[in-house]
Amino acid sequence: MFIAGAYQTKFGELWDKDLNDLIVEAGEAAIKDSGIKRQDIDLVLVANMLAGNLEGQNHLGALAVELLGLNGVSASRVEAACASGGVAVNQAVNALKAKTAKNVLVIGAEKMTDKSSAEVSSGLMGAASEAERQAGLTFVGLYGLMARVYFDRFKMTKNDLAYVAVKNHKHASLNPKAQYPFAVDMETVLKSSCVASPLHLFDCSPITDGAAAVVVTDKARSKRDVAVAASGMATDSLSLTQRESLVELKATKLAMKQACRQSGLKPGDIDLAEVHDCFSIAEIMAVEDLGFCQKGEGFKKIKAGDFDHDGRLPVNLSGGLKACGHPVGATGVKQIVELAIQLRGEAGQRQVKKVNTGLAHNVGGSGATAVVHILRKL
Amino acid sequence: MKSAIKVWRHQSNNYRFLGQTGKVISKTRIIEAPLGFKGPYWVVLVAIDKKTRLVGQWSDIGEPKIGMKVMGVLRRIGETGKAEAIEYGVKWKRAR
Repeated sequence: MFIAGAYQTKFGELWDKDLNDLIVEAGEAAIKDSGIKRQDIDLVLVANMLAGNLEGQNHLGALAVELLGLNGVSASRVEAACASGGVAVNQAVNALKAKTAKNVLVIGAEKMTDKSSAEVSSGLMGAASEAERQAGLTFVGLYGLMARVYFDRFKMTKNDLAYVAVKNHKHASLNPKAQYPFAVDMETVLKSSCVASPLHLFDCSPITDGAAAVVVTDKARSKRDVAVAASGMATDSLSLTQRESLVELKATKLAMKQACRQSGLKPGDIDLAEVHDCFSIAEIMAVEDLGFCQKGEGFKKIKAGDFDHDGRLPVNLSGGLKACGHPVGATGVKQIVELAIQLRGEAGQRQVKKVNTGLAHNVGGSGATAVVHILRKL
Repeated sequence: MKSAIKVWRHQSNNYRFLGQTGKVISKTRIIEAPLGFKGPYWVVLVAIDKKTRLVGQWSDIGEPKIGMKVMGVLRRIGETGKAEAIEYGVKWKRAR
């Protein structure tokens, strides 16, 4: 399977754009970029979580085909909370493997900034359990509970956490499509207000509008195409309380295991990665659970610069969810777009030299769903 | 906001841990609250035994501390819906 077309809209507070505009911009641009004829697209998948809640719009597959002039084509929405995008790409790969489609257009889109933070926060809690909603938890709170346990177990401090935001903002400063394309210093991160202890504003990904799209196809047609070497997906309990461990995401480990088996690659073979840093603690657990370093070492390696642009394994060159932005349904697709751009050598000033293999890691909820994709240069 | 029937259906589950004791294994102070709640408040993650963990709001003076022995008490939870059904459930306080 191959990624033929890839496109990301600007992420941010896009007051002049609604969900339809975002779907059209991303979908049209990805088709054009792929070089595949519009009439050869035979499946459209739309990754989105909150349009029903926030926009009163469901039935997004049909909406997308109407907007793109693809009426008649098979289409549906894919929802797995913040992992919707990754799961949609996984479903596209599955359709190609099953030979039920040849050219799949995957669009991830989310319009979030029309509503208040409390409304968005409550909508996002649809990805949690009833008991967690009843307790008045938010996603910041759920990851705050994990961070507290991690702090005590591995003697991590708020200062250690702050390095994640500093790194990802530094990366975003080279990405014109990022919501926050500027660097921040440690002081700014540490002085930001508390959202849910121990996590502060700069430990959290923002509320974002945006879309991203890819065309996944069964045949490589051009040298710009990028191979999908693996597509792994796994789940764990929806409730945080039922997890085996509070300092790791087992679903990530299981999805990574599948991805390694499918591709024959090891964590050490990966040249760059886009990981799910919805909160700073999530990136620390991600680099550990993906096998890039030992459990309890993630924050030390981030601090040491291992995952910087010029480090041994650049992580979140797009700026990650923290600084590129997190339009939930679009995020998993955006990660694939970012890898494709890097592997094609088209990433401009944030281009990494000598990259052959990239990994995308997308998480839904507090770790109930995880998707890992490995892409390879042709 | 929940319908009266949903509040009624949740009752037995809501009261499941009433009077139970456990230990605080994590905590977070929610400043930015979701709809239907008013921050700030503490939420604790409580271990009842080796297999059972749950989350609930803190309902005591002073802050919860990791390792603190706690007890489930009956409290009003969430806001009253249009049907004016008041939902009760378990919150947590220091066991004495």
